[in-house]
Amino acid sequence: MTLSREIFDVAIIGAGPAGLSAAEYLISTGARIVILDEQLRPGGQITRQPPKDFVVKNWLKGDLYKDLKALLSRLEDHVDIVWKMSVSVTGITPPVSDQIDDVYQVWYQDDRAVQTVRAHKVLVAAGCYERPLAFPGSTLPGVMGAGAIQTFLKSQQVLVGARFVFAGTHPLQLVVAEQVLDAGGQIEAIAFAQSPLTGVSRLLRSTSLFSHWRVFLTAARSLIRLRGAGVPLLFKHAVKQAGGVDRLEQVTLQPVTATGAPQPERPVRTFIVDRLGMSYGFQVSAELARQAGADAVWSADQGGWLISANSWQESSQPGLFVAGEITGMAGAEASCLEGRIAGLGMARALGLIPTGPADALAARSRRQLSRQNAFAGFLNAFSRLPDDLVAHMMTPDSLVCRCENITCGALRQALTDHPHLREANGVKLMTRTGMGLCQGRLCYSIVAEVIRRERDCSIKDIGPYHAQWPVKPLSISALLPRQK
Amino acid sequence: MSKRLTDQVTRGLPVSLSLNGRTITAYQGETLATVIMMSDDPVCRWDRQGLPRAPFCNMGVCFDCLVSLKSPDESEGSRMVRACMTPVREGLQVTTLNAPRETRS
Repeated sequence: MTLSREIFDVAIIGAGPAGLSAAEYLISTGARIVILDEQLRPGGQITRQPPKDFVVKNWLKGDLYKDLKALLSRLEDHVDIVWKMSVSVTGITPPVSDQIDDVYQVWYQDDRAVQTVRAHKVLVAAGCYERPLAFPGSTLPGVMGAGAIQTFLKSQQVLVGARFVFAGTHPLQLVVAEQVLDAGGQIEAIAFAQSPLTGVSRLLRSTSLFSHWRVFLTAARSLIRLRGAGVPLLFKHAVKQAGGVDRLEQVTLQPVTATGAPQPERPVRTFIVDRLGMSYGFQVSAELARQAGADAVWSADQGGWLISANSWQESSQPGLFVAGEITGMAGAEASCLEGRIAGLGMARALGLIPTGPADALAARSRRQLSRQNAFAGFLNAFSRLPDDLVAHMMTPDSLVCRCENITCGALRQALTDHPHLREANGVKLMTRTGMGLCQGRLCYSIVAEVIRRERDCSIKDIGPYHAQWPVKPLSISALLPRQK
Repeated sequence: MSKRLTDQVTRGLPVSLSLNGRTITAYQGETLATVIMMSDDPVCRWDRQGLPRAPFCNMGVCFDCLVSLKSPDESEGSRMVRACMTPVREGLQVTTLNAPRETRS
């Protein structure tokens, strides 16, 4: 374990669109910044880059990625940025006094030891991850997030699987399916749990369609290409079962009602495939900001427990700023805008720019952001899970907690046996859901939904799992002094 | 079956490492997750019920792709890493965790 002496102006956690946008503004003011990220190269998930050892011609073509790729190429080799890549940030210690050298301490783990960096301000721009659901066979090798299939393509240039089914509620699966098709994969079906009418009626009421033509054009282009290739597109269908011995061999889809309940009188469809891509929306990576003391509010549509921020993107924890998906799922363009506003906010707080000019510069970004958020509202409403879907996809044997192998049946039994249990943390202590290596990231939304239905209460009553240091697993040896 | 895309892609130099004792060729820049996905038996570990697991999120969140890793230049023993976050290197020894015979009764 090594403690740092240098004090940066800003430590940015997350090198995706939000973190990079903040960084770009901050270096223009002369601020001294450090960026920490778990991946090998900056870009986040949306522009997850191939490794430096690869040469990929025409990487991520298309309008959607153009601005992000330009941002990346401006910053990746910038000499004014200190990069800490391939590190996992495990915690943030806020200052406890107003002493000059009492500043934020960011704890991270590289491939060996625990280290720290110190900074006056911290920006958490940790993004989001895909929301998993529990169903029979959901842990079978071959069942993956649709975004995981996509990052293998984008970054590793590997097509994982030969025959695919995609199932979910989010239009991302259309984009991934098209990329799989282009890479030579065969797509047996794409299933949306909701009705197409739900989406279209919301679309017609939306005023943001024309200001976001790029996103719609991309999805529409994918749709046309997939239909042209004869890919069956199913609505009101969800996963009933992923089957196979030790690896995925078939996926069974079943018709569901508008609320997500199965319709046993209608026929199921089984597809022989080696890959299932799930796309049931996203959860925000808010654990670090919550661990540092930032207030969170629940939003089912926008990605779970979101970090609240003021008009400068500062959280309730003074000096801790947040930008991008962790304030609510709104896409890469909104993340860039929030990142820029956070950059201005931190520069202002550091005395690098007066409030008046900072406000003037932020005003345009704030206007654009409110348009982005209107669009995100539509996309999130379109992708909303039918109310009863999560509960109906689980059988008593389905694993709600992938890490600790806790079944849905065991969770329900614990709730029956202990009528006082209601909070997520109590359920965690009683059943071990959320105690494994992913630290509850994957099971939380499923566990909370089971509790909500059993207790007929709101998610606010259930609360999030406590976010505690270390927010990513740490080996004991990493904490010990290195032996020479 | 997974496949490496070759159209418009030039990979890094070949690297030799071992997976469960078998020598495997990969390319500089690839992750252990890619190596395992490309292998005949694309499993990273077996869970406490003896069920196989493989990469699920490919971004360091799920820990389904945990494997044991030993580097040639390190005197200390092996450590557990997320295959999706770990690049290949010459001489690495990768072992999948809890082979089924050890956990299945």
